[in-house]
Amino acid sequence: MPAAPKGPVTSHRVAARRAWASLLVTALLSACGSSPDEAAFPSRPIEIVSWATPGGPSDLLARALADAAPEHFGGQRVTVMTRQGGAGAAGMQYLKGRAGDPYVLGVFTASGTVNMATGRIPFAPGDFTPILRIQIDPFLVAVREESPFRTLADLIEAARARPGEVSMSGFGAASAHFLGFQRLRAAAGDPDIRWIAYEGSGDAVVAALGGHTDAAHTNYNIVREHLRAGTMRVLAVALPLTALRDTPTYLDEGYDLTPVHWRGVVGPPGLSPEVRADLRERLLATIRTAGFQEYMARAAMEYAVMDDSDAFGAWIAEEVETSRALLGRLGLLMNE
Amino acid sequence: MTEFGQGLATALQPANLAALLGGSVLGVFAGAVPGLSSTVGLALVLPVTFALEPTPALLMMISIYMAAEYGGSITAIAIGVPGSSPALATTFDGYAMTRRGEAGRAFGISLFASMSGGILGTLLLVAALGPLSRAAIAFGPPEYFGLGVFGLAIVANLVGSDPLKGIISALLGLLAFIVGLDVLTGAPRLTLGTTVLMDGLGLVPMLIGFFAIAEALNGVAGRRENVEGAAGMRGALPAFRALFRLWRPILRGSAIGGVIGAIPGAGATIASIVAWNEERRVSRTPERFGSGEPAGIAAPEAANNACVGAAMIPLLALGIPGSASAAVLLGGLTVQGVAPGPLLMTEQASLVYALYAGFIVAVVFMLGVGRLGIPLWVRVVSLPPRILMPLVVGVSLIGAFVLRGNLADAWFALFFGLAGFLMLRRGYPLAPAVLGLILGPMVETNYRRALALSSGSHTVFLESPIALVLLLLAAASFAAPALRSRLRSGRATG
Amino acid sequence: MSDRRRRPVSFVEAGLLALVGAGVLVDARGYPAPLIEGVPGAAFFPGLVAVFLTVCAAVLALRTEPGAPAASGPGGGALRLLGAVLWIAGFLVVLPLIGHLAALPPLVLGLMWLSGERSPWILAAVPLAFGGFVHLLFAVTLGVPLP
Repeated sequence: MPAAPKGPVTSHRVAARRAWASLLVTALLSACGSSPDEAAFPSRPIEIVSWATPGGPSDLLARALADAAPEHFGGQRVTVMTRQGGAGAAGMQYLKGRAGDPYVLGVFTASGTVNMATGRIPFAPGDFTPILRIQIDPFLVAVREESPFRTLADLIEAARARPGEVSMSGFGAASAHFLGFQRLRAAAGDPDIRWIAYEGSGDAVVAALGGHTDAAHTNYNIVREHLRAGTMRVLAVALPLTALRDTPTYLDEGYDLTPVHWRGVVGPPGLSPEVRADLRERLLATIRTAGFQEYMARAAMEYAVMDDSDAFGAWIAEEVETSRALLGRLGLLMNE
Repeated sequence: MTEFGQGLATALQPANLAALLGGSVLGVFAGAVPGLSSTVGLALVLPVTFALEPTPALLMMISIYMAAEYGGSITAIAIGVPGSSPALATTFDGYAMTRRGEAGRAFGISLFASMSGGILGTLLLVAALGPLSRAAIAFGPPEYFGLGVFGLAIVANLVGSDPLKGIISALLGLLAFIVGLDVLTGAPRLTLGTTVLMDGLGLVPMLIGFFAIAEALNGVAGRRENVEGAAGMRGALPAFRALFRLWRPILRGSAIGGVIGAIPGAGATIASIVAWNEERRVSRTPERFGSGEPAGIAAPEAANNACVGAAMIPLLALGIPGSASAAVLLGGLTVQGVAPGPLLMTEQASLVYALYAGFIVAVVFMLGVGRLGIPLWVRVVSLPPRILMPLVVGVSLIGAFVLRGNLADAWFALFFGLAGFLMLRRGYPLAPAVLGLILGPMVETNYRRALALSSGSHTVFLESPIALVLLLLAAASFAAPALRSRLRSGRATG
Repeated sequence: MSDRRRRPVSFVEAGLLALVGAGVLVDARGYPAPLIEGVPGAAFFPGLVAVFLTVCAAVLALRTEPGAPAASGPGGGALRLLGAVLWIAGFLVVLPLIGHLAALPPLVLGLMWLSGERSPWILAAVPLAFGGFVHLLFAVTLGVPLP
């Protein structure tokens, strides 16, 4: 069973009770059914826990999965279980509390690893069973059409010449976006570019669009329409995207780093390797369905599947470590 | 005009009509249940829209959005609990009117004003999509700061008989907003070392606690003001002539809603409170506001429905959601393969016109559903409070849970209920605290953001004409009550 | 409560508010320093509000006016109030354990009883009908997973 709860008052108990209840149900079902083994999986609805903002990219991923999954989960209903609050802690607590239960999955993202790294939330990568990564959403630097900056080098040069006068808007402080920006800044020799945190990525783009900040640090899906309309330009993108074929990457600009946002699926702790492999196969089939592919295109996302669960687990752990090191360098760890 | 006609024809197709009707019913319900709101209603149907064609999916969503903004006023008028936060200002005069036994009149005014505001907001969207979207992005940190301070100054008109306690209440509301992660540094503040407080206490738990639970506790402690019972409650709707006489507050409220609604991040709650306050300011009898003034219902209700159309401006023209509800709507659009942004109007004009027409049809359905519902609401109001309030508490606590799927919110609501009860008993008005919680984030983050961009120079607030005007208006608004009483004592009689 | 007791209550009130202000100031000492010189950091605004609150508390304690027209409640009110708060808290504790269908009717029944409803028919029928109504509305119609 998981460690003692520190956070939400009751959710741990709920989860523990649910775990018992599900064990009981499973036991009853297998007692009644003809095959006592787990051959019958899935025999009841599956839950996908989402702790992200409703309508946001991670929440949409959860819903697209739920929409496409049933045909590969024995026709069972797949529902999105919203558990927001505590910077993701409420949802993670719920997932963690269902140890060993293959009927609950969670959408896990770069934000989760950063929140683990800061020490804001009392969770570690080992609290979940990694299954697979689905998307990589590279960060990029965008400016409005009227901006004097034509290249990333222009912006960095300006910041060197006029320290503190070049501003970059982006989502959150000590967030995945913030750390992506800090990695870029460190690689450029720490020019004094002012990070202006916003409540959402969209707000940060509006700030750049309105000329309140000099540039926005964001993702492709947020600026896609503005690029097509010519109201914004991308100076550089962390990883090559098919949609941004002619845009220089950070590497082209001389910075050998690839800060990305990413999203994948994890399970509760304590899933056996067989169960995990089974879930991975079903999810792989799910993300290959036409419906899911359509969602990916519409949401302006590109596949970056990592279907080796162990490699995905190592990736998560590595992300937490990289983030922690960077936060430590910036003096932003909450280790008290 | 022909495009609009085609759009209307699309919206009137049977499948689309069904989507609009279903959305309207669900929206009124989501708005009326404390805890649920247009955002929750939209999030609930998001999975359903996956299975629909783009047009009905979007029409269903906008009709939910529109109807929920009206639905909030039902609970606000019936029991003094804002069904969703934009109906907060409607409780001031709407509930007062119900306590006078005129629930039917209040429901009628609210429905008519909501309908008018909804239509005017849509017309604004159709007429000024481009210009207003450009105006919206001109709103930067100094301007948001000005708007926030301007809103906070409304506290001066909400303090009641004891200004000191009103100010303390506002300060407590500001402290309640600080709880959680600081947007600009990510540092947890006043979280007592827990994760459960990291995303803050939240407006919805505060509204449920202050208005539903505190009121129920009042009843339990035997100190409830008497609401007219079944016999005294008049369900009579106001005559159309009386409604049309409210055209000025409705127009002003719609204008305020249209402007504030188009600014990303400002939203319907702020717009409706500002509309109420402005109506009180221009009124010749401001002292009657808060005790059942028709204009005090019409203006905020027109404003929050006008916000629906206006909130579509940044969403459609820039692809930027200006509110939590718009964010869910954007998710729905994305799934349907509709990419809002500068090119939407040229590339998917027929869909946009169907959307425009859908708004108008949604308003008509909202009117129908609302009108059919009024006799029911009047009956609900007629229930004795000792039966009604426990039910309200039950639904509210469940609603608080549904909001984020987090039982912590129901605990917060209980906390606010007890706090609100104690504050009321000691003569502290609650509305200033709510205003503090709503506007605190806008004031603080944008103050710091503006100074971070100006390297600490305060002249940014003077250089922006919009910010300057808003700050001056705020100062005037704070000074006005004092000046007014000075003037009054100068004259022989008021 | 008589007028005589009003002053001490005002003092307690002011003391509590000052305590909240002081608590905020203590908490704010742990916030990160401003990243940019001359620009207010995370501690600025809480500090400002806390200072204002303390000043207001001082004015509240010192002023001579009788304060708010706080009417007094009947003696049994406090006990019933405590009962209601504990009853709601109890509901929130058991809700995740026994589910909303089993937890809602007792909640409503208890609150109705405490509010003064005594008719056995109403006390029996309304809570049950309400539980069913909420279940139908949220769990069945809207498909919201409730505990």
